[in-house]
Amino acid sequence: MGDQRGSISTWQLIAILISSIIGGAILTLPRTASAELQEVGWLGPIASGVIAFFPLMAMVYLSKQYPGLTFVEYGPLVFGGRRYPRLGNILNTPWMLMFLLFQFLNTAMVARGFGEIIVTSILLDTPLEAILLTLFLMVLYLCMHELEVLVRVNELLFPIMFVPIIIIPYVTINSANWENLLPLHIDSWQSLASTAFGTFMLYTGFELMMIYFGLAMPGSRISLVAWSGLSFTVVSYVLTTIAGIVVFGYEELQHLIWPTLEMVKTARRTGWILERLEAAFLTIWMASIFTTFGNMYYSMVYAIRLWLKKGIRFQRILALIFFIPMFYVSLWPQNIVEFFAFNEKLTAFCYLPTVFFPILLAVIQAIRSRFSQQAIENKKGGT
Amino acid sequence: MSQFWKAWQKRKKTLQEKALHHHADRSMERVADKELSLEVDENIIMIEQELGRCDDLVVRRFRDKRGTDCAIVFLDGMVDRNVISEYIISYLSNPQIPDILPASNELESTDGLRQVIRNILSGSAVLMRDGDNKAYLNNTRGWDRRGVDEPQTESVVRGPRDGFCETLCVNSALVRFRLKDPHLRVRHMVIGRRTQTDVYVMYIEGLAYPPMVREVLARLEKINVDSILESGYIEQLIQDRRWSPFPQLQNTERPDKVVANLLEGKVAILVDGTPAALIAPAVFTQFYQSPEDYYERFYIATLLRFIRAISITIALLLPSLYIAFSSFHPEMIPSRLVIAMAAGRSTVPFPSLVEALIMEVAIEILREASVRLPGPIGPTIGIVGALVVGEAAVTAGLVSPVMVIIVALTTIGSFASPSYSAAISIRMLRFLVMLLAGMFGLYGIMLFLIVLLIHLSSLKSFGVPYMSPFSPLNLKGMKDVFIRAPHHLLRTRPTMFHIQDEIRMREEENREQAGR
Repeated sequence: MGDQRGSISTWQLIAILISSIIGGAILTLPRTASAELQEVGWLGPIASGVIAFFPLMAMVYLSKQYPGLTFVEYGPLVFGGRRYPRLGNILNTPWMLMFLLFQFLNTAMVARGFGEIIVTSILLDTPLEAILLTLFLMVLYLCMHELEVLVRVNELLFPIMFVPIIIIPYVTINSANWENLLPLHIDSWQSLASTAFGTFMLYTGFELMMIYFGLAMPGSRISLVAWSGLSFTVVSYVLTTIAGIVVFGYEELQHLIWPTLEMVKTARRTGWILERLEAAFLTIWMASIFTTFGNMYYSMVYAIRLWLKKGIRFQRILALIFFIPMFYVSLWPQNIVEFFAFNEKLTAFCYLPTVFFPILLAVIQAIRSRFSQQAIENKKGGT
Repeated sequence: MSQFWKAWQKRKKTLQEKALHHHADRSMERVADKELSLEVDENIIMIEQELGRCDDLVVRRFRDKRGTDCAIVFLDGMVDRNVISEYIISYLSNPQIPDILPASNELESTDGLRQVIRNILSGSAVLMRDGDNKAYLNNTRGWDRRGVDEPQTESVVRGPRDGFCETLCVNSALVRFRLKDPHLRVRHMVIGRRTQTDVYVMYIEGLAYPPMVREVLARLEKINVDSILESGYIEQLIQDRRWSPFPQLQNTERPDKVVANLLEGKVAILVDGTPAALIAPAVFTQFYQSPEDYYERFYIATLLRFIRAISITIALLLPSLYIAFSSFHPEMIPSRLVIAMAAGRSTVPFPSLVEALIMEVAIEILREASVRLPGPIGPTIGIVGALVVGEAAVTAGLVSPVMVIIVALTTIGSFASPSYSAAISIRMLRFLVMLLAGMFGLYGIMLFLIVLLIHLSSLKSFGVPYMSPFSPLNLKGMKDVFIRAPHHLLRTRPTMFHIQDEIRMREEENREQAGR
């Protein structure tokens, strides 16, 4: 069985990129963004989007330099060049491991966050373990299939991504108090920077493109994917944050665990078919969290499969093996406070594999290609 | 461990050899392929030996106009007796006619015993003569058959009323008569070691994707079973994923549907002895598309498609939504309704999951019973079951009135799907969702839907993804999925079946038409 290279279209790449980024974090977003920036909290997602822009462009550059290769393959080539493949492998391995470790921890935390939301808001009597277990079983079922299935599932679930753009502004517009957004003034640039760095976790998921850009169909427009995916995400984040600030005001936001969910709760009208929407909203949003979680878990397993050049059977067994430690790690934080603290630590760690790594690769590649061009020019001059 | 591995390998090999051996064991091949002799009597003895004691084997001896001893051998009931007596026996013994061969429309000669046996079994009359080591096979097939009738399962309001019957040649003629395309290809195959069932594979050369046709033929050739009694045998033996609850080949009794699908570059499989033809490949849209959609104007066709899609959703999800809402999320139901529901449920002694399961099982029993019952009694059971039992159950306080509405809607919804075999998979999955909704509420329903989506995305029917054209997204194909675009916009055939000749309608000529 082949690994189905060159089978993902531009549209599918956009779907994967956006579904991997947007997930459970949107439920806490208005609070985290406005914690320091207060009424201009909506600038936070924009600023962290700017941070995510650089590594994403680095990935686009690398994928254009090495079309049809994933970072698993081009990493050693960048580090070692074609002449020293072994050196490249040795230099690439720690980065590879760091990337996998981050995926592992992040996946576990996405699952945990999702379980917490379900347990605290709609299924109050269900144990957290039951939610996590069913979620993991669902992803295991996904991992039993080839890559094209993952791609199609993302494509089919993509319309759900429009929920924050369309539904949330619609349901909140009646309880909006627009004065909460004023004054339009940034108190300290420092707090903007710290919010940008602190909420950067919102954008994790884009690093998976280091794999999927390499599997794209020849001729697909990768930079279009990066641009549209990132701008779509920024817009939906900004809209959600604005909606949160407008409805609650930044002071009240700090006391809500899941502000976005509370926002949906405020929308209640008699005469609608459903009187309260939060369970329906969360159920639909669950699909988006599933794509984030599923993409991360699948990509982690798939990267290892590519790394060791194995087949689908290896992937299935590996997915089964990872299931146990993942379940364990996702239950590490004892309560929701510890969970948020753990996430903060993870945010600090995430810069290494998701931002620094692709930029480093791109810089080395840029230098390398300049030198090789010079060498070619020198040769030309010589002859 | 390695020993175990070796033993396993060995076992696998023996199984493979066994399968190969099995393959050679076709019952027709057990008939010795002897050559016929010059003596009529000897030949008749050979035939009687092969067929054993068959009291319906008729041997008619007569002497033709030249005085040669002749014999006609056929199976009683499978032949048209008039043809035999008029065009074979009296034709050959009439001294005024110089012909020495019978005047039948299809005449072959052979000298092999195996072919003689095969033809006798399929309804030919075999003529043998003294001093001639050839047997003449006359096509005299003519058993009593059901005529061309309106299909029972797929009736339409507007559209042709004829449906396939049990005879293969009539069925292929019904297709031919609608499709006078010289590129229509019909491949004949015989499947089933013992039943020797005739199968036609039809496709249009230049439209159907050649590798797909080859794949269909290869899979049909690989079938090695003793009997094919219905096309369902073939469907289950050649489908891509054998464990999937979804039908991966379409089946239909309507010739117009077969023709429409052939024109989309698909392959049709007609099987002798059944009115159900198979169409490969199948995609998910078959659940709510009907041939009638193309006969009516496009507004109503589109509306009907939406209605069918909604009714399938209802058939799949309504009982589980009831369970989820009433036991996990009562706050979502509008307050007046929730009070009414609570009042209705106040006497019900069971949790809503049990209540729903009882009613759904009861309605399935009613449905199954009314299918088995003879025609006139069937509706009675429906009325007694649905009205009397339902009403009585509510009065007795066993189920709530809302539940009765839900069960009725679910059952009717599952009948709105134009494809019966697609609808039964939905009917079946409904119980699974109900259990999940009983465990996790809305979360359980979503869990089920995502797993279903993963499964559907992984399905392929003869290389065509089951969820196309939704995924992989094919915007051209979307014109004929939920909406049925007007015919002048459907200029090209859907490309997802790797169609070879895309153009369905030529633009210029139609413009001229419109201009007139």
